[in-house]
Amino acid sequence: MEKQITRFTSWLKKQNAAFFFSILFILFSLYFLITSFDYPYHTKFGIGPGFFPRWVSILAVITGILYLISSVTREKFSFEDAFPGAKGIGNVLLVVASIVLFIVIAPYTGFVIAGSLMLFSIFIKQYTLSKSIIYAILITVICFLIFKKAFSVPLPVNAWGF
Amino acid sequence: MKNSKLFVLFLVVVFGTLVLSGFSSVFAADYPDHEITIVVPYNAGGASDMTSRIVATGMQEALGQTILVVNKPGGSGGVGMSEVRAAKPDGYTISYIPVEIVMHETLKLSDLKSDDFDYIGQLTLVPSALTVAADAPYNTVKEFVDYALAHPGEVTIGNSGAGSIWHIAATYLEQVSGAKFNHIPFDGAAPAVTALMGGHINAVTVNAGEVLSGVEAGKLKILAIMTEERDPNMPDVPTMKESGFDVVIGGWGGLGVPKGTPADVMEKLSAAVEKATDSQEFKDFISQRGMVVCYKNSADFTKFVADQTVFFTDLLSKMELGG
Amino acid sequence: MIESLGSLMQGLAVAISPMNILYCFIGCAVGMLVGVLPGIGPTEATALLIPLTYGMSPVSAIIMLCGIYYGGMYGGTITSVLINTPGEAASVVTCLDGYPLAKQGRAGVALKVAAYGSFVGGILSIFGLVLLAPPLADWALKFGPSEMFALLVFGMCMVVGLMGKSMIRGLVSIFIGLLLALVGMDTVSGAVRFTLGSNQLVGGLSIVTICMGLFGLSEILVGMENLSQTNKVSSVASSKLRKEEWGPTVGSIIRGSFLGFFMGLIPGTSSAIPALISYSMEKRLSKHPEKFGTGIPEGVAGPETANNSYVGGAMIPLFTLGIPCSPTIAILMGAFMLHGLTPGPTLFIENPIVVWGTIASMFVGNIILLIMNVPLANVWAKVAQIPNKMLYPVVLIVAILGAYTVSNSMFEVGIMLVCGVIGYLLKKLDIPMAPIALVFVLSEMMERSILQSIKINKGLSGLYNSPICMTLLIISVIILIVSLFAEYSNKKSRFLTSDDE
Repeated sequence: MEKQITRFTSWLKKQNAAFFFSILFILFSLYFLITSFDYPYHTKFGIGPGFFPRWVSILAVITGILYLISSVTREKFSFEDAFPGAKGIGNVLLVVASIVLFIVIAPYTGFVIAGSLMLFSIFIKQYTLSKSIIYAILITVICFLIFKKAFSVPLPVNAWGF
Repeated sequence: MKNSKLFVLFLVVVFGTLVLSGFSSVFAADYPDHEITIVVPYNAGGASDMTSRIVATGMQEALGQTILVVNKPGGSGGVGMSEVRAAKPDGYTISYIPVEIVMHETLKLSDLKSDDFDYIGQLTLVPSALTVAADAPYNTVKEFVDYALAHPGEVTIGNSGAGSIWHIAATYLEQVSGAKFNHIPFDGAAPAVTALMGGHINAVTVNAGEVLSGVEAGKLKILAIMTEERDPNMPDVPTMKESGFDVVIGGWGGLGVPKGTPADVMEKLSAAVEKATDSQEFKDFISQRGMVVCYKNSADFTKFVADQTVFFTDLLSKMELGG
Repeated sequence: MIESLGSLMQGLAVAISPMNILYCFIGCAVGMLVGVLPGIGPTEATALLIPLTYGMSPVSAIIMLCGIYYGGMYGGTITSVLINTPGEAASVVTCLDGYPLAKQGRAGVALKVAAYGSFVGGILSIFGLVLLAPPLADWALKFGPSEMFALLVFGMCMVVGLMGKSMIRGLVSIFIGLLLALVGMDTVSGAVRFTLGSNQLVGGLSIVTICMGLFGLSEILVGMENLSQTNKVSSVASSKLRKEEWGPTVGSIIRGSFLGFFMGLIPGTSSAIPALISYSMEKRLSKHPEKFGTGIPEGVAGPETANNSYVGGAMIPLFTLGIPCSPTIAILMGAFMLHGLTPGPTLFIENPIVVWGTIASMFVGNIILLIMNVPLANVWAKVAQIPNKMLYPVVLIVAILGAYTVSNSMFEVGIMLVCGVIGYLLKKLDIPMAPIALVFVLSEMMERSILQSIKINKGLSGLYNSPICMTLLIISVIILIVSLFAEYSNKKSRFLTSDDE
């Protein structure tokens, strides 16, 4: 299993990132192109809501194809060049995961707990435990006071009001 | 590794408090015992938002509790109102309810229905006014309609977006008079009025308050207002009815709570709204904005909404909107 | 004209009463604060503070609210320069050179140049307001849907100048912006498009959320990659301009002032347009266009000046015709009405003290901002020195709050996260991001205006019957051709030198 993963990663490293992205981009444009057919191109009052999306997405698909061609001919970006090693990616994923965690739990726990947890999970790799907890709570509480109290932004809160 | 154990401990503590917080349900003391939220389903700074904020200040005094005004814009009011509909019917979450509530179902804007709410009271009436450039060749609605009949499809009327109340108002006039207009949607009423001033369109049917500055600047004239009676702030402007076209239409705004709110809570809220709409501040603001203070109590407003639902559903089904 | 100056002096007497100076100061300070905090822009802050002004005299109330407006305009600059996170569309171009300057330890330079530029732009546009108001307001009304469309086409051509090294990657970026702008309800037909069935998307995506994600969050994600390494904090370099930088910077400030002022007059524009045009224009006029985007002061000065002088220009239609040109101005108009004043020409006659007091207070406000910001620039510059492992999490939570505040819902935070991940990928692939944000703002207005024009004129005749429109379209085509050619020859020369870098 481990062997396969290493093989996979070394294979991936050599791949052309721009090529993959251009395919993603083409799919993204195609979604718009296909969906644009749901909206009338013409109405009896003139141009319909389908007109602009149709043309924009057609041009976007063409751009995507040109990008695809240039990615294999001229502008190669291997994953190795573009992305850092496993550790770097791990950090990036950690941030993304902590935001997801925040989004999921904040409506139940309130902003302060969810925000502190999010910051804590990022801080813990850089600071000592006690510092991480203090910083995480301090920063969250300050933000909470500014946005909630001073600007009365209705941040999600728990039963105790934070 | 010590760190990760402590981290687990930290998580346990946090989630523990989380679970406990779920049980600490608040037992009802006398309503209201904590802050109340009014959700405005439009952006900050608009007429609906300002109206709600001023009413909130008045209600705050009457109820003795903080009232937060929160903007949840999007989807022709659908986002904010849907959220209030889903809230607990305990009187702590109130929605500003605009005229659009009676159209959501017919126009397929969302799955909101007008009987999803209990209605506390009406605040305002927002009359539509037919306004044209000051140097236009017509001075009355009659002349305007005659001109439009002679030039079918050529008279351009600006509104604040397709399917908006002002678009419907113009279409209603079209239906009653038999004229054919060219409806031009703008992104809000102000850009439509600006285009009228610049001579890019022939008329607008938006709220009178939006055109007052233009009238004072000598650039625009109001031909008629689409209410039952003349507006005391503009005694010289005739109503559509007087001019021979039975067109009474306009926007309105009120407050509502999720269906099933207890009667005693409704009573308290209704009394607070009545007091708030009676303040001088509120009256001044509303009339300056070209709107009309129109307080209706819970029962009257509920009936009014039901009538309006029938009226608009009928009207919209006869119209060919869109395009 | 002399009369106007006389009235202005009277107004000045009102504006420099200690209480009014205090209110102006409060307004500027609050404005700067909300400018720095994403999500809460000047529009929201003005709306929130209006109820507080009930008890105040009309002049003081308006003075304070105006202070918030131009204070907010400046506040947005700070985050763009320091953490590459524009709080609104107008500051997107400021990031292009402001952030590289900050990375070189020259954040102080960027902020100071922006402060001076804002000041000059603000003052010049107020003079314009005093001396030229009525005739200009009438001229600006000539901009109907057709003319607006031509102006937006012109703006789009300017975006080409921001495409970066590769034409094809620039185009990809432009199309991402165009496609994202399609999401939501189409104002013209009322049709709801590309929402994947989500009620929350009916209103379309928000530019603030997109900016927070594409710029702010993606910056954090890239930074997180090597957070563990001791991060190199560039020392604060001198916050003075270098000798050779003076000329172009002063030039860009003066050009930016005029540009912003005239754009402000036109109803329905946004302050992002003058900022964008100013940046492209400076790049075009520069002797070293290749340095744009690497951190040069004139790239910050021009756009910042333009978006501040835009404020003065935008006041003209408000005062003379009662037309609110932008959302913030619309709220200011609401504030006038709340205090029993209807903006429009009669206001000058009935309440000259209010009008001239307000105008004079804008002078005072700009001076206050300058006094506050020049020394503060050095303080802010130190923010760029906070170690990344502390700075990034703080920026992260503020960005999340900013996105949340847009519609007070967690959904918006989710959108920001998606934009952040996309931004991260784009950065990796060297696809420029500024075009996405700018095209997003422009294209929505563009679709609306062309459809309105076609509907009003029953065809395309609106475009070729209007001289303003034709002129703008022809200039656009010329610029497009010239800039495409320039990009091409630029690229050729860069191929020869790129190996040395």
